[in-house]
Amino acid sequence: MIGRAVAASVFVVTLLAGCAGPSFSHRDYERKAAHTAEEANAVVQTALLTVQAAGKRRAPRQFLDVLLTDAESTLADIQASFEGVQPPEPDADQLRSDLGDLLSRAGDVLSTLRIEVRRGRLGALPETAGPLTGLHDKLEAFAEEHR
Amino acid sequence: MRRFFAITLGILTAIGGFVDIGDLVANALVGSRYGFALAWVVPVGVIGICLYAEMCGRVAAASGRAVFDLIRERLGPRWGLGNLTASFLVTALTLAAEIGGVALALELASSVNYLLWIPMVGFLVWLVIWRVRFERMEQVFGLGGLALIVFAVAFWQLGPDWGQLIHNATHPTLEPGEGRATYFYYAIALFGAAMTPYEVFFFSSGGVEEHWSAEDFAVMRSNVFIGFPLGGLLSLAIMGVAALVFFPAGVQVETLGQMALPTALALGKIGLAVALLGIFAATFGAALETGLSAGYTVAQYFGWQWGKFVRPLQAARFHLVILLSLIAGVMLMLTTVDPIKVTEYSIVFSAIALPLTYLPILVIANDPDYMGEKVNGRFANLFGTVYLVLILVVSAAAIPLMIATKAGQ
Amino acid sequence: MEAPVNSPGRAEFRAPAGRVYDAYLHLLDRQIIDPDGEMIAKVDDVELEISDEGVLYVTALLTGPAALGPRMGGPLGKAMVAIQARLHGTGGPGPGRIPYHLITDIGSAITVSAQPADLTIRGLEDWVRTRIIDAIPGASDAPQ
Repeated sequence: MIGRAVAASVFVVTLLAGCAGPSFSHRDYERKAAHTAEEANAVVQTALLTVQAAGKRRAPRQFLDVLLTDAESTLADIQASFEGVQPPEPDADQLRSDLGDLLSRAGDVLSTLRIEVRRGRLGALPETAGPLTGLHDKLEAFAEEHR
Repeated sequence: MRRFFAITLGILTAIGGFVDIGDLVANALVGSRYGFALAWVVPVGVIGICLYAEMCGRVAAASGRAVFDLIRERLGPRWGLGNLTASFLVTALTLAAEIGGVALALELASSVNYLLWIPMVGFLVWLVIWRVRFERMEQVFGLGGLALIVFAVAFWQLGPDWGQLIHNATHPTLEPGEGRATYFYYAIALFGAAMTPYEVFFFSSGGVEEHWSAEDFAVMRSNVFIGFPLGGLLSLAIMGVAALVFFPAGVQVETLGQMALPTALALGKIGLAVALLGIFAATFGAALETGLSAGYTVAQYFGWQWGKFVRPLQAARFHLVILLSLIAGVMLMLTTVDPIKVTEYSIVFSAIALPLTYLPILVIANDPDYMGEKVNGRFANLFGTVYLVLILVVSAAAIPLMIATKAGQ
Repeated sequence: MEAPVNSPGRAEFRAPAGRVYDAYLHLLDRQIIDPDGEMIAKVDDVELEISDEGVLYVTALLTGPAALGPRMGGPLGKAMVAIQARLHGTGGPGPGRIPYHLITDIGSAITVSAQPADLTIRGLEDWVRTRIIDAIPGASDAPQ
């Protein structure tokens, strides 16, 4: 009895968590975009911290590889999830392309970082990650503006 | 002198053995999301587990029986079976999470994908359970877990503002945009991570494995009352480094790599290596404990011979249950479900299942039939009852909060 | 369990003077061990008879799914009995039976004086041991 209630609750929660749901209004879409920007910002900052450790020779290649690969694939998931949502009216298209642009640029940097770390070029990482700082600021501003 | 050595060893083992993947994930996540605003949950959880672990140890030493053995007598076969089912499922889920944790630690050290490590880890856990002596197993992985002290060192190195820290811990405030419901959801998760049911099953069964008697009370109590609180400090250190590094940036820790990153930033490659060693030892040790606990609970309900203190041939069904649980855990993790997510669910389900474990313990510890003179005193009963009420509240609130907050989002 | 039962002077067992044992509290669901502490089974049920004076007394301890099933009741209990029947064929041996006179002590566990002759008690354990555990290297090694 209790077991069934628990199972039903878990099922409901999983369903809710899994639903992307359509964006019904401009406001909803805007909030979704802001949330996406925040998530992407978190990934970018983790990457920046990782690169910081790399630059100071504070972490071995294997560790950096795992973190940067994770960052790259997480960002790709975030981007795919956002771009899969139907923008409500043409007004929202600008929002979509602005954020999409930021996400793509961040994704490119993360890919390059991943390639370099696997080649063992740890010293080059801080320079490659340079654009991330600017992207971090822009993503933060985007999230603030559209919260 | 021997006694001193035995007591010290016990304490050190208890400190290192206190933390498992649930504690690692919960403390890092909470530290990164709330800073020190949920730090108060850790001492609350530690006091609770100390209280009840001491009771379980006393039950084992006084009656020669493990706790789950006696649960069926107290609850009757029907409720006992319900209890067994829930406890076993939570323990098995925790086992899967620990296996995942070990694999993730190995991934971070080698950059070989964790999925490739999972079957090997499952096999190694089984092999150690099969072959390694109980005490040796406990000592090796308990002492290995002490490596997690590196988190405390890293915390120190990162130079926290102690005044600010203490203020934040004692005056918890929520950031704008953070809801009360999510705050309490994570409080429950953190509490569940500190008081996981398998710990008490394991502690009391371990007492029977090591043939505790009245002479062992002192050692047992020092392990619990000194070892566990110090283990709690390790949990706080893990929360602390996440709070110092990730909280200001508004980044939520969601991977084991992020969790370990602060040690690299603070202490470099050596610090990171020690941290990974500690994580490996803590999660592997916990995998052993949950694997054995899965066997203990089932065997003790049905009255089968159990334990590592007999030949495997003499406890065939017990070892079969462990083997099947390990296989199930490995298979679950091979579905590529996120090990961190599995861990989060395991600690929340632990919180829900707490009353099933702790209510019978309180009853048993008061029964002179099992305990002789060693029944609970007033102190143990007073605090035990207070905690039981708390546990019931936590358990009742867990599912509604999980639904309301979409599992903490 | 309806009536509390004395453990009268049945064969070798002598209760401590003045101690009345309640079958429900002190027997049912308790672990049965042999003189070496080895675990045998749980008391899943008890076998009762009525004496000439009309007093119910315990004649044997019963173990196994065939004993526990009927006590559990409900669909689960029926399933347990059915599984036992399937494994042993129809009209199977029924519950494992340990005659009462084998009991030497009732404490936190029930000690019996010897391994009970009824082989169905060891049924599942023997099956698992011979078919599975025995095959794994190291199964007969000294306690680890």
